[in-house]
Amino acid sequence: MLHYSASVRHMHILATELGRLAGPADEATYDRPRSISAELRELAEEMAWVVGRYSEAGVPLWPPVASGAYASFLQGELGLLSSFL
Amino acid sequence: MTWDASLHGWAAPLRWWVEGPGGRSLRERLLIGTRPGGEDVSERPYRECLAAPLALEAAAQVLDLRGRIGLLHNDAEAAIAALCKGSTQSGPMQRSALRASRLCARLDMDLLLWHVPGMQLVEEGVDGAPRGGRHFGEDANLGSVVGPAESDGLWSRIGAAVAEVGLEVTVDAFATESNRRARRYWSR
Repeated sequence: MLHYSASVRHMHILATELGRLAGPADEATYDRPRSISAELRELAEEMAWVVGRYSEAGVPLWPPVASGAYASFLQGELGLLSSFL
Repeated sequence: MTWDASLHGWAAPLRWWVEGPGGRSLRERLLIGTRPGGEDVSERPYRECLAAPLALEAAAQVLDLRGRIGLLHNDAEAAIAALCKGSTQSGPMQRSALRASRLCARLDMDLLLWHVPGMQLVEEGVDGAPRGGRHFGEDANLGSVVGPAESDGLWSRIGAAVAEVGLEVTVDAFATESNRRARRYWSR
């Protein structure tokens, strides 16, 4: 999911939450089925919605640097920002 | 939007451009709010992190934020990091990051967040707003506000180190316009 969050918008914080809720696990148990909590199931459904909603849009390879984008904003140069969308 | 928080609440001047018959004009509105009950605001990063989604939610009542990019800056680096990546160590900050992230997902909105020295919040007049709750100007806590920047001593050592290998610093990656050490700069 962390890999997904690099290419699907709005996934990164959810991936962090997944790690928090799932907790640590030994590598040897990675492929074993585990029971999940209702909270984890709800999060998984939310992540599935985000993937379905935003996966095709992808993410920019070169997103604007925040401070530079802000300088452009202050000068009213909004082309940089609109091209990001 | 620049935001700042205190024990009493939060404040965030919201600025946006509007296209009109006479051309483009910059609009501004100061958003101020209190904190919802039950939230852990015992630590400053918690307060700053929580204030971000609260300010965004308030901004969404003022503007149609769908499909927009939000440029947000604040002087609490830990809060910025949590809002960008989430936090596995801090429940309060992870909750705030989730709240902001979920709002952005609903609005199809992207955030660009970065850290600025506290002095910049003072200069922009936002630092005093969450404390006084009334004014949008000079801050009473000016003397206690500090922000990260390369000190003169550190900068000298950096200059000496790169000179030894025949290089020079051309980009300052820990700077804003007010404290940059090189012509080109940015802040993470």
